[in-house]
Amino acid sequence: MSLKLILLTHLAIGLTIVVLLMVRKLKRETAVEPSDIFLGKNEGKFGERMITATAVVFAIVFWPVAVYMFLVERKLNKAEQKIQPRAFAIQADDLLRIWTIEQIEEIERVVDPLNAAPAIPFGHLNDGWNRFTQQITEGDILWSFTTRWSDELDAKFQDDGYVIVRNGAPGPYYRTSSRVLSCSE
Amino acid sequence: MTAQFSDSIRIEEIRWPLHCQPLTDFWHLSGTSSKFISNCTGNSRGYIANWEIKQDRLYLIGLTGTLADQSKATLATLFPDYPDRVFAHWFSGELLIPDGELLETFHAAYGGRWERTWRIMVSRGVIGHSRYTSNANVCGPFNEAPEDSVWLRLHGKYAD
Repeated sequence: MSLKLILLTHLAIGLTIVVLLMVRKLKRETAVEPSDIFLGKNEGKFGERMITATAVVFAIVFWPVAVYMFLVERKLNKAEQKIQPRAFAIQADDLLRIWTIEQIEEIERVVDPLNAAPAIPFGHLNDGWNRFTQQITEGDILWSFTTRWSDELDAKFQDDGYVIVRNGAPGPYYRTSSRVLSCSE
Repeated sequence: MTAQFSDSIRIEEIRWPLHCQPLTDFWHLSGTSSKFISNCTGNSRGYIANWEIKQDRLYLIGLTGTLADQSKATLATLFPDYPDRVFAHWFSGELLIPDGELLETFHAAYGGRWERTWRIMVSRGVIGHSRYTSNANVCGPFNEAPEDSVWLRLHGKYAD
């Protein structure tokens, strides 16, 4: 088999896979009406479209990698759907890394170009942060966490934040975000 | 159950209804509770908020509501130092905007089911990607995830 034929076959397979993936994506999302484009509602920025075009070319050429990434994403999505229902509780597996207060306050300083939030740690939520840090005593360790949980109606959430680990056990916590993952069945 | 008045959001000078309540997360994350009371069955949360997307960020630009002492509240009541505009950095999730033809009306949620939902992802107040999802094959007010989970928050776990 000539190298040219192998290359053409490789690109043909890549193109087929990309087309199938794009059709699958389009089927899951509604079509865009011409009026939507005129109003700019679903029009990506030029940069985003360039990224999409680059990704398509990448996928055609390196389709084995694209297939692998697709399978990994599917596996992760399935795993996400199988979150065992549990009430909110920060467990050892939810801990990410150790921080100092100074490090946290540096990265969590809110910066807004329109000055619509105080340029302090956690902006409009600074009071809650201060109440949280006042609970820290000697020997405590500050960890970041991310935890998934579900409520009594089986709606699933992901909460992120910081937690005081005291004597090896998670204690008081400060939520920085709370996202809904899925509603109840 | 009565259909609820929605918040509104301005995007590129066009005002849209907003079928979610980003302000709920502010109370949730701050460990405080809403001081608003309901004076109308169509407004059980006790306030109407006006939002805006500007420079790829979500801002709270207006607020009207009734407090427990029956006094009227505005944006300055909740954010005294920012009476005109508040950066909603506390919000991460999806903004849900109804779009298209009204397919069905009902006396719950926001009063109807529209052809599609425009979903705008927000992370710590910063706008991310957006997409449309079709509502053509769902029925009733509680099948449009994750909007109904907002109701869970309002009437369930995070209710004041």
